[in-house]
Amino acid sequence: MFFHSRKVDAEIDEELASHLAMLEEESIRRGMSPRDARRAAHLKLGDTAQLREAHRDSRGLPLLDTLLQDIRYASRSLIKIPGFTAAAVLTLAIGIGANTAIFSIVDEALFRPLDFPHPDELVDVFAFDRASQKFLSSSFPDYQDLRARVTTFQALSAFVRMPANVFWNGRNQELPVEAVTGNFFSMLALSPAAGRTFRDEDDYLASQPVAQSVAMISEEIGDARSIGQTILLEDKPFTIIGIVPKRYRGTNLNWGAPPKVWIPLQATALVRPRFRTMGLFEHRSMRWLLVTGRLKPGIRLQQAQAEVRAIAAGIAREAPKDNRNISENVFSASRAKFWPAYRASVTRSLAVFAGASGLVLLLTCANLSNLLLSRGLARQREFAIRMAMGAGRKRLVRQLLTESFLLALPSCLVALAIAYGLGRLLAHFPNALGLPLALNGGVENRVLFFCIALSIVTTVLFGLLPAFETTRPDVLPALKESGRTLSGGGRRYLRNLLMAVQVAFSMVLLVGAGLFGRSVMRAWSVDPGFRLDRLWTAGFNIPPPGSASTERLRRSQYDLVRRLRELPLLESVTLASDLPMDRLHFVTKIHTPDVALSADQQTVGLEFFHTMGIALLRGRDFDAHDNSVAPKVAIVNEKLAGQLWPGRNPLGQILTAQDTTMRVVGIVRDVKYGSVWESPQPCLYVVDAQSNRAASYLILRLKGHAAAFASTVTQEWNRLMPRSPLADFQSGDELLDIALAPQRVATGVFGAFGLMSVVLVSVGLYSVMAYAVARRTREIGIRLALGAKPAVVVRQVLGNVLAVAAIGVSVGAAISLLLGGVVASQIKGVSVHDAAMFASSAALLGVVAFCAAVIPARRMLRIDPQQALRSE
Amino acid sequence: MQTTRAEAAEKKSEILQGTLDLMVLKTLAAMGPLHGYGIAKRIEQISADVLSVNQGTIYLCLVRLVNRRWILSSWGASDNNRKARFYSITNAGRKQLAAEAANWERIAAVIGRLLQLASAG
Repeated sequence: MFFHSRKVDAEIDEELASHLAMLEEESIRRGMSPRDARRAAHLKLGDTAQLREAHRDSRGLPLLDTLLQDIRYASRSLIKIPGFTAAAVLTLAIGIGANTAIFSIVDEALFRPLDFPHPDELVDVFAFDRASQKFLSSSFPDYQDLRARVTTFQALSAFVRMPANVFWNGRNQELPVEAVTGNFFSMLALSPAAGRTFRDEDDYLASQPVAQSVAMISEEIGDARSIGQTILLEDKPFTIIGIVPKRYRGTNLNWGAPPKVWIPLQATALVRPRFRTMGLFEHRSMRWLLVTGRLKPGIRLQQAQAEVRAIAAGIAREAPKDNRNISENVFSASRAKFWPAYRASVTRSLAVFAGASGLVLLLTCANLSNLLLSRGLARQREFAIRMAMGAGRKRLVRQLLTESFLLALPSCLVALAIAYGLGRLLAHFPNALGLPLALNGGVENRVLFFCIALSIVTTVLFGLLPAFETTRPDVLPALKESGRTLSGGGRRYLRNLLMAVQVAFSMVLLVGAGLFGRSVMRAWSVDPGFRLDRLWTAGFNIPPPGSASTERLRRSQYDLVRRLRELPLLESVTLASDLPMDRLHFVTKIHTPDVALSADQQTVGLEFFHTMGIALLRGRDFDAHDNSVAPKVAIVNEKLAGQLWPGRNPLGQILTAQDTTMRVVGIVRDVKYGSVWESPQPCLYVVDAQSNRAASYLILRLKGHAAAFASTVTQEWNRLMPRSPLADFQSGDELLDIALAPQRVATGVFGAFGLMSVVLVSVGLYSVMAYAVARRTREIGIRLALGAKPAVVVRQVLGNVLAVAAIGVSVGAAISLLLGGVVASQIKGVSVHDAAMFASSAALLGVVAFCAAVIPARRMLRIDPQQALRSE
Repeated sequence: MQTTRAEAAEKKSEILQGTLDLMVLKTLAAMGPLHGYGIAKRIEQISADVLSVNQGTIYLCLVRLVNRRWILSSWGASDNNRKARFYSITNAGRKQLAAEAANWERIAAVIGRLLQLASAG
């Protein structure tokens, strides 16, 4: 290519040389000395360097060569205007970075193939109950039948995730454990970081009561040296045989943190002895497993689906009692990273984020287009001259695009940094999508590719329009000095249009931020019926119900509560089965002689209502006499009382729940225990001492802001139960925060995007105005000289900007109204058509537009007509 | 820097822009394929050295005309066997020449009449 370019240069040189030679020859013929003849020839031909340049421009050099030349030229011209360059790079980086971050989350949650060989062969099999239209886990017998009968699968495995108390490295911790069938890792084709993976024999041996079972642990907590060592799960010894590489994060994302320890499926009975006695491995009604398999090569999803359906129908015929309505659904495992029923809500949350970030990108493009357009217009003379000299328009457009790409390149790098930070932040925000998805949020190949592709698309989007606009052939009049005042009529409309688009998108983002923000603020002002201030909770490590350790745990809990009551820093202490602001409830069937209904059931300790600040309306609270041998008692809330005994006195009434008959001794106020958005549910409270379930949570209310209470409580507990640590302390406000995470994240995302958009819009408006004033200095000068009132001129220019802003705001408001339906399910407690929100967003944009326009407008007032006229 | 150099060149050729294009096209139409020197020489001869062109400008003009596809270039040998680039007019060039020539004649006629009026008056 370089060779070619030199050849073109050489051709020009040759042509000019032959011209010189002919001139010389002629002069010599006329009798000049050879030396004079050469000088005369050079004079006659003139400046050849410039000729060569014109030649190059017109011919279009080979691609690489022009490219290098363009890059040199563009970087020189960009370095000359560092302010513009920095602003453009940063603007772009924000737009691309935000989109890349959202993409990395969307991709990880919805699209990215699992990181195993041939991920397209991996499928998840979910049971589906046609009666309730719900997806279900699979029972062990179902799994065995499926595994025995399928022909389209290379392997079919099952697994379950559960937390377990793990003793490892001299420390007791609650860690996520995955129990998997022996073929699980070979099915995934996951090779261990060290040691070996499970085999079917491991699973079989674990079902034999005598053998010590085996386990695998994550690279994060062990290495090759750990192999052969013993790890304790719920005090049961397991021999470590293999190390799972760090990159394996489980095939399922919605089970919280990725697993750290793996055991054979049958070994769950060792860790949870009750699983065996409950018949978890025998009954089809016990649905507790997730089924994942690998299709044979070349088998399509539909074929597997048809086969699995047929098998499910067969099982349904054989075991109609449990499986009458059960069908099976096969999903591509890369698309079924979480419970299928959640897909819609996750998709919707992500779509809202993606939409918002897309708006930011379009806004960025509009802004940059505008900046480049004004820069391009300022360079019209340069372009016009080059075109007159014979430079092709294509060449100029290419050069302008090169400049755009030069802007995009550093932006892409900054964007990756932004995306990395944002992605991690989003992924680690608990419950960001309303589900505890274990996302990584990092930047990997697909994300990198997306970022680069997006940069290119963006560059074309924002660069092409200004490039074509500023090199339009009719810029030629720009060469003439007079072209200055009148030119750019059409382009002014274009710039106004771009501005209006920016304002409109900004409006959408601001309204979104406002709605989500109001929703969060509303939540804080909702009275849940109990007090969250100075409230702290901590979770117990709960053994399976009914086991011997339950009694030990319960005794320790009582001891703890007794000791804590003596501490001066606590106002009160209690135990509870449910965490405030946690959407998980224990729902139970309640019977009276007249009515049967479902209600929440909470198991609470003494002083629960006092600690929570829930008003006792009638009757009495539970007390120390309500122990396991005393008559069973219950407290109901107003709602349940009204449903069970409408118009009658509930005190002293009898009800049955969980095969236990109880007498109602008290009535409490309805509270929004599980969620600030829902109306209170009917709720039955039973006392912990009379329940066979141990309480899961310790609930404290502090007297003041006692910082040291956590370590005191932890020390007390560790003295009682050193092997079963307390989970982290969470304050009442934190619990509300977690419950509101989806709205808070959305507020943050929209808020940040909204802020960016306002900055972009103000910069955009300012530059348009400043440019317009600068361009029209002469015109304005003339008008002022002819006696126009400065105020009138200013008003006209300001009016233009405000009109653009008004159009943008209206269009943005219309788009927001249309999009309201999409986010309606995520915005709680505020109408998506909240007029105040629309009005304040519009007002903010109006003020921003006015401020951005008024500074250049003031400059216009200072124009001295004489100077303006002389300046050009 | 590039701009100023280009600007300077533009000013020099300003008088001739359009006019020079027309002259080159006419020369090529009348004489057939010629090299740059030949074209410059011919124009000087015809104008009887009234128009002493900076001959480099011819090449700017040639580049422009090639670019607009009004003329073509190819390598050949000059009379005294020197390698030279020969330019020839295309059909599009002939059309342009016809249009420009008609235009020119109209303007020349108008100016001529004006001048006659002026001298008569």
